[in-house]
Amino acid sequence: MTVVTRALRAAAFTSLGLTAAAAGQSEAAPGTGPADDQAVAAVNPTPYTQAAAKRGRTHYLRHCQICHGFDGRALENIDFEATDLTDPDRWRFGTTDGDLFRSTKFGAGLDMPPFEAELDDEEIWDLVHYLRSLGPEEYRAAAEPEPAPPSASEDSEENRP
Amino acid sequence: MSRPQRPSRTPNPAPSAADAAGAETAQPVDETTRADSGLSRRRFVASGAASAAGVGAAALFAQQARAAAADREDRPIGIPDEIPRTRNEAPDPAEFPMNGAQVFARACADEGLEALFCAPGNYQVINAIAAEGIPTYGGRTEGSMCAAADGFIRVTGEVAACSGTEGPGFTNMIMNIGAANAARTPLLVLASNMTVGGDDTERGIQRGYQQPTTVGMKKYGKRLITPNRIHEYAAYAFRHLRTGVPRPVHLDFTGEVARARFDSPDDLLYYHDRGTYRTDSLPHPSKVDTEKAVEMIRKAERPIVVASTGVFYDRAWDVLRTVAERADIAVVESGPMRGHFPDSHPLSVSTGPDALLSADLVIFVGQYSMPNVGEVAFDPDAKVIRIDPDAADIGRNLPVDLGLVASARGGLEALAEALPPASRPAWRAELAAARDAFEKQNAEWYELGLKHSAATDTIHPAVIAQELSSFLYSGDLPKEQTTVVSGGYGIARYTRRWLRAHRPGQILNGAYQYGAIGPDVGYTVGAGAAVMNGVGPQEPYRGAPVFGITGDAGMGYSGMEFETLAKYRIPAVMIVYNNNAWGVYGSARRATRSMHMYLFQENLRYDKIAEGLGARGEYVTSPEQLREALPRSYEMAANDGVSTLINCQAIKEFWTNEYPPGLPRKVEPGCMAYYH
Repeated sequence: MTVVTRALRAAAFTSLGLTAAAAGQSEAAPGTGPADDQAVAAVNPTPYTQAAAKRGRTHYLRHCQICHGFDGRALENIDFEATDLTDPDRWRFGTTDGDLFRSTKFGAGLDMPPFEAELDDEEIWDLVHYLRSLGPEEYRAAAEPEPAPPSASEDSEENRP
Repeated sequence: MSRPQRPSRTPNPAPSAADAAGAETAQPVDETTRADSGLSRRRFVASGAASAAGVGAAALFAQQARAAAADREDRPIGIPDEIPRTRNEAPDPAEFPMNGAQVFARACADEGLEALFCAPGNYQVINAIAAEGIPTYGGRTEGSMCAAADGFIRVTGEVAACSGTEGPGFTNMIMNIGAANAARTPLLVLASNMTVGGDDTERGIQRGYQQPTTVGMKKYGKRLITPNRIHEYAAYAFRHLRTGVPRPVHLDFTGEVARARFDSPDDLLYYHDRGTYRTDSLPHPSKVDTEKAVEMIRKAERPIVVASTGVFYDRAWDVLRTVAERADIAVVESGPMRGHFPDSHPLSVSTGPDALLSADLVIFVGQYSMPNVGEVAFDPDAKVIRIDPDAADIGRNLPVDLGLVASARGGLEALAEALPPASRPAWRAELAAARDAFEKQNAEWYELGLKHSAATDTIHPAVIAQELSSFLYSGDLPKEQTTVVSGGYGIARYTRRWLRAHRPGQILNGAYQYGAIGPDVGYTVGAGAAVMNGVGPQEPYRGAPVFGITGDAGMGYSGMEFETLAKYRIPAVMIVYNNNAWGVYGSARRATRSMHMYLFQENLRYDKIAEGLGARGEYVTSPEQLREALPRSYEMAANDGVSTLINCQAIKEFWTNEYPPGLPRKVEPGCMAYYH
C-alpha cells in the first residue's frame, strides 16, 4: 500500500470515528495545541514492517494491555471501560494514525493517560502499527516493499511482508 | 415511534419519624425533591414539634439530648477485665484423655502454629487451641479474621489459622480464602460442621457442605468424619502447609470428630511425631540444569532475578543476596510481600522500572502466581529461567528457556555454589539511573499533588504517599522498623511507589492477585499482632506500631476490626483514602442511570467510626494536617497502644486526567506490583 492509499484509508477511519463520537461520547477531546494539531494531521512516518509492528507489540504489552487486554478487546479491564481496539467504530477520539498517535502521546478524555513520558515519538509510531494490526484486516496497513538489507541484520527475516 | 411513558417514582421515600428525630447533621439526600413534595426533613421536624407541644417539646428534646450526652460521658468505652485476665491465664495443654479437638490442637502446638484468628464458633477447636497457649484473637467477622491470619503469615512466613462457625461463619471467610489462595499463603482454615448423623436433614441451623465451596481456593481440604483419624488429618494439613508451593488448607470438623473422646494414643490411628509424617527437606535442582543456568547467566549482559513469594517462605534472602552480589545480577521483587531484597541495595531494581525492559535474562525464583506474557515489563525476547518446586507449573503462562525444578532456596543455593564471580558495571549504572529516574518522577508527582491539594482543599494521593514515606524513612524512625500493610485500590498506585522495603516482611501488599480491596484492616490486625509478638522476621521490631493503608471502599468491608485493634491494644495507624467513591467509578461516566451505584456520600467520617469503636480518629483535609497527624498518631500507638484511623479527604476526580497523573499505570514486577 502506498502512503497515499493509506492516507485515504485513514480518512475513511476518521469519518467512522467521528460518527461514533457524535453518537455516543460526551467527554471533551484532549487539548488541541500545536503539537496535537501536528499529530492529528500526520500519517505514520514509519513505514509498516513486521519488525515495526513487533516493536509496537512490546510497547503494547508493557503499557496498554492492562486496560485494553492482551488482544485489544478490553474484556478484562477493571479500572474503567477501556476502548475495544479491535473495533474502530467505537473509537471515540478519532481513527487516523495521527489520532492514535495523539491519544497515546497526550492522553484522551478523562481516563486514557498520556504516555509522552514513557514513549518517544518513534516508539509511539511503532505502537500505532501494532494497534492497526489488532483491528479488522481491511484496515490494516500493508507492508512497504522492504529494502534489501545491506548486510545481515537481526531484523532482516522479520521485515519480509 | 414514541417511547411509552413509565410511571413516575418517588426518588426517595419520605423520612420516617425515627429518621426525622435523628441527628441534625444527617443530610437529606434530595432536599429539593422532598421540598417539592411538601415534605422536607426540616418541615417534617418543624411540623412535628409544633403539633406536639411547641417550644416546650423542643426544650424537652434538648434536655434529653444533654442527658444522653452526659450518660455517654459516664460510660466510656472500656476493655472488660475478662479480656486481659483470660489472655494472661497460663496455658493448659491437653493430656489424655482428650477430645478430638484437643488432639488436633496438640498437633497444631507441636507444629508451631503461631496464631489463631477467629470469630466465635467451632468452640471445641478454638478453645482447645487457646488452652495450648497459642496466641488467639477474636474479631468481629470471620472474613476479617481470615484476612488477619493471612496478614500475619505474609509478614512472618509462619503458619497461622483462622476459624469460624459452620454455615454463615465459614462462608463469611470465602473472599479472604480466595485472596490467600491467590497469594499462595499457607493458611489453615478451620470451621465446625454440625454432625455426620444429621446430614441432609436440615435439623437445627447452619448446615452446609463446605469443601465444595473452597474448590479452586485451596491446596488441600477435608471434611473430618472419622474420629480416630483426627491426628492423621492434622498431619495431612501441615504436610501441605509446610512443603512445596503453599496455599490454604481447609478442614471442617463434624461434631462426631471434635467431641470424640480418646483415653490414650492407642485409640488413635496414625498417631505419629511430625518428624515421621513429613520432611523439611527442600528440592534442589539437578547438576545438569544448574550448569545450564550458570552458562546462561554467564552469557547474559543484563541478568535479573525476580525474587518472589518462595524466597520469603524459604527464608532464602541471604542466599539471594549472595547470588546477586556474586555475579552482579539485578534483583526485583514481586509478590504478596516485599523486603527479602532491600530496595536500598545497589542491585535492587524494585524501584527502577525503566531498567526492566533492558534485561536480557530473567530468572523467576519462587514466583508462584505466574504472570502471562506482557504482564511483566520485560522484553518478550528476553531469555527466561524459572526456578519452581512444581515441575507441572514451569512453562505455564510464560514460556521458559530453562526450568529448574527446585525450591527457591534450593535453586539459589545451587547457583551460589556454581556461579563464577562476574562484574557488570554498565548494568549497575543502568540500574542506578533507573532508580534515579523513578525518584525524579515521584518528586514531580509530589509537586503536582501539592498543587492539586491546594486547588481542591483536599489531599492528593501523591502527597499522602510522600508524607507517609518521609515520616517512615526520613525522620527519627529507623527506616527498617515499620511494617506496612499496603492496601487500597487507586491509592495503592501511589503509595506503593513511595513505600520502601529494607528487610524481610516489611511490606505486605494487601491487594494482590485476587484483587480483594476489602481485607486491609483485617490484614493490619494480623500484621500488628505479628509485630506485637515479634514473630519471625518481626522479632527485632517487637511492639512497634504498624501502618496500614486502605480506601473508603475497603473501609466498608473490614472497618469494624478497629474494635479488634482497640480491644487487643494492637498499635496501628491506618490511613483511609477517602475520595467519596469506589475507585472504579469511571466505569459509570458514560453510562445512563449508573453513577449513583459507584458513589458514596461525600466527606464521610470514618474517623468517628474508629472513635466509636475505642480507637482514635483524625480527619485531615490538607497536607499540613496530615504532616502533623502522622507523628501524633504514631506516638499514641507507640506509647499507649492506641490505634488511629487517619481519614484523608480527597476527591474522586483525582483519578482522571483533569489532575495528572490521574490513575497511574503500574509496572510489574517491582514496588508497584499489584497483580503478580
